[in-house]
Amino acid sequence: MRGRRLIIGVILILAAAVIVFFRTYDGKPGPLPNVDEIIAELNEYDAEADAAVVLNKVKLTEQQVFIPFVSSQGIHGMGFLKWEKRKWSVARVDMSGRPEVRVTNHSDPSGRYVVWNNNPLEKVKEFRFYLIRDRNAGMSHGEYYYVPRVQMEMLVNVTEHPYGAMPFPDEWAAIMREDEKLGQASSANIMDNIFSQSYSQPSTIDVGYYPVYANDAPQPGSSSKSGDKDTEFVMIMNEKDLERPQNE
Amino acid sequence: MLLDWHYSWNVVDAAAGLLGWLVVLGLVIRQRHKQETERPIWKILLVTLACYLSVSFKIHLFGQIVNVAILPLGLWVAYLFLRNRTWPDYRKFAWIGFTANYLFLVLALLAGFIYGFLYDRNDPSTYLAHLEKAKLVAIHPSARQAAFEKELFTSSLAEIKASDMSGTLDWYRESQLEDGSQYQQERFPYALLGAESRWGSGLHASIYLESDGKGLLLATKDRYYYYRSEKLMLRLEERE
Repeated sequence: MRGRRLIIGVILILAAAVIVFFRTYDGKPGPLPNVDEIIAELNEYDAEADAAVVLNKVKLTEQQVFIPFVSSQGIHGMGFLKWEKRKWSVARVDMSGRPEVRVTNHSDPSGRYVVWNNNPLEKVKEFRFYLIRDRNAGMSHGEYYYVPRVQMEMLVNVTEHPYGAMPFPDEWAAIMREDEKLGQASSANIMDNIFSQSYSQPSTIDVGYYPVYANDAPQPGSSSKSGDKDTEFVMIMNEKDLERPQNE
Repeated sequence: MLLDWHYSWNVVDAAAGLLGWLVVLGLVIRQRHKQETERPIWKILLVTLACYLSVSFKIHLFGQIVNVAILPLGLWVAYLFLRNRTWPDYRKFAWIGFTANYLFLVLALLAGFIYGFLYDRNDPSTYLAHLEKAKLVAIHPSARQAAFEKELFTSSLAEIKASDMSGTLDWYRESQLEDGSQYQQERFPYALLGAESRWGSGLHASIYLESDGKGLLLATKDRYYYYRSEKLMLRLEERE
């Protein structure tokens, strides 16, 4: 009696494991759907997408693809496909086409891409992307600290590249990794923090951009964005948010 | 504790931890041979481990933070489970488990002393021991062209002196305020990436270099360190 029950129990557990495995198993990415299928999927995911033309299929990783598209109204949008549970599915549709950061790997900053699909009617000549960390100084737990400002620039010629996906430069990723190492150390164990004098990094690293418009550009319209867990927003910067050191 | 090994791993603590568990295992095996009724070893180890759990608090002792166990929580739970049936056979092991807390306390203090003897947190070369993969990156537009040369850097590192950091707020103001002398200039516009600290130290610092090529700022998770050098630490392009 006891033996039979044990066997039934083991079989049930195995069956459950197999089911769980196949429901979550992603498998090897298959071929990308063709353009018509992609359009249908984008429109099914978001009825407002109204996708008509797929500009390109840009592979970010084996499992993630960036689809810049144009709607039948001429709106430039961005779609993101993800290979999950043995099929390609739409992870997100963005109708603004404004730059954002796509995170393909949450544990490594170099798995980040700046993506955009700019409408030529906006007459943007150039995007200047920035990695920014604010300067900070003071005293904490009786020790002085000083956090140098980070302001690193990456230029994109939008006239030549109206849409694109640029991986984070190695140097950006390296600076972010440095920051994470210091941040992680103090947040890994909350209980330890209450008692010990661990010190937390008082500044955070952000990505921003500054659009350079042509002289005859129309007044830029406003747009809003909502993201998924793989989206990081990129703030629009003004000239006064940036430091322009004068050469002595 | 399991979560934080990846950043605070240092060879002295690891050795002390290993030594501690070997001693506990040795005591358990010795006690088992002494007793008349030999209980299965896995049960004995389970009881010992369970009794290691305790209510503890942290205190600062000799510049370290250590756990001091006060209530033998695991021991009470084990006692409730075993009650009168087999408790007498496990009692000794339970106390070995609880006492192990104090063994680890002593070992942690000892490890702290040995660590301080082996690694000097105030010495910049502790954080800059391996420079093979080091790469200089300008992190701010005010940075002049500069080149990192290992020999030059290492020789200046040997003569570097700890310097006063009490002016950090002034540094901030000089760069941040419109009438500041260094307005929109970064005092530390270079980061040195890829340098590794001494093996086994478990330390890490973010490394910044000063705009005149003669200052070194280290940011660790505990505090910042600032050093000045008489000589240039970098090959700097002349300002016209």
